[in-house]
Amino acid sequence: MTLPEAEHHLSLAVEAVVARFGSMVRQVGRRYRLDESDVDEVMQEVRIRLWRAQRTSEQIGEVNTSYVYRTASSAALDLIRRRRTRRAEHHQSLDDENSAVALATPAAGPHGELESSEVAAQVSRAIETIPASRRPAVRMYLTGHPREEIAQLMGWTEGKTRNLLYRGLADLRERLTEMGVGWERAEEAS
Amino acid sequence: MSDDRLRELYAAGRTAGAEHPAPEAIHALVRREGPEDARLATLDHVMACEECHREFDLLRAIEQAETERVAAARPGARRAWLVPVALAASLLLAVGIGRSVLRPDGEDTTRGAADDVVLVQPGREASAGDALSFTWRAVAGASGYELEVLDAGGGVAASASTTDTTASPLSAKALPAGDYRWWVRAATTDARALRSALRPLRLVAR
Repeated sequence: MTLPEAEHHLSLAVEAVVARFGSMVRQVGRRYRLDESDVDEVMQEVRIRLWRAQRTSEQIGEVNTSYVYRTASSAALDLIRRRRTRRAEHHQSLDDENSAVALATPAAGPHGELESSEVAAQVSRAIETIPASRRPAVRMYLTGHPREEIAQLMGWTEGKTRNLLYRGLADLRERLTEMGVGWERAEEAS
Repeated sequence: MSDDRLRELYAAGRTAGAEHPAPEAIHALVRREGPEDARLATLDHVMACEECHREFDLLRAIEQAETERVAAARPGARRAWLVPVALAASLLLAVGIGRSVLRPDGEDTTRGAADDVVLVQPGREASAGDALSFTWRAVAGASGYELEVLDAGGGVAASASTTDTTASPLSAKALPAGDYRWWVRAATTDARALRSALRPLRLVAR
């Protein structure tokens, strides 16, 4: 086998590993309703980094699964940093213009929408009053994460998770009731 | 009001007033690293901030994919997707590509009797008291590696177990000047025990 052939085989192999890992991330991401374009961007960056790594033979042996995972984590963090920088620059640019850039104000909608936004603001305020130990669990629950995910993420037992969530939702219900917002059901968390 | 309606209202009212946590903090959250208080504070923000939630989802998907891959790769589970890279790396080695086959200092790479585990570094000589980093080539199907540094009498002077292809045992840094040998044994998912040859290592006093 010639050198170019061997390099070609390695390229194919790296591509196979990246594609496989990318597919797993996508599969998991779908469960989390993750935007696939984010995964595409990260995996493309992983590819580029691995191609570069190929050029130094010491790193060839490291192109294994955990290396791909570490590269993907690092690429994702870099992607997040870049996006934040872009957002900050964009905001800065708007500030610099200091012109008649009118901040979007909610269009005056039907009465129902206005009422909803007021209630939404009340919900936000009520959540802020929940003790800090319980509040994240309540937020996760309201964002649609099942109790098992909360437990897994925080490393809590099922009992502790249920307890914190139940109490947090009870706090929320109490605050909302005080605000005159009725909410009776929390059966999924109990 | 139902739970579903409450969720709708929560989603509509999500605003993140506080400063965004660093990407590393979100990464620590998904990796369950660091104090719980800090992770709770990060989580509290992430669940209230759409931008950070998207970042959280991305990092969590990568972490979860790795967790599931590792679980699937445990003994008894197939690791078929590792094979292409291992094969290709072997091919590359077979045709003699790479600086590590012939080290820049002229040090030959040591191979096991059956080319089981290929040792890469250190070479035959190093300074006593330096942090020693031992590196070898990945072995297809390996679930872990054991490194042993033997003293002149054959006793184990330093050792390490790892799933990686490199190890830097702290005890190796404390080794006095003298002659040693080191080797690596790979445990594979199909219960084969593969090993490298013994490579001499002379630690020279600085």
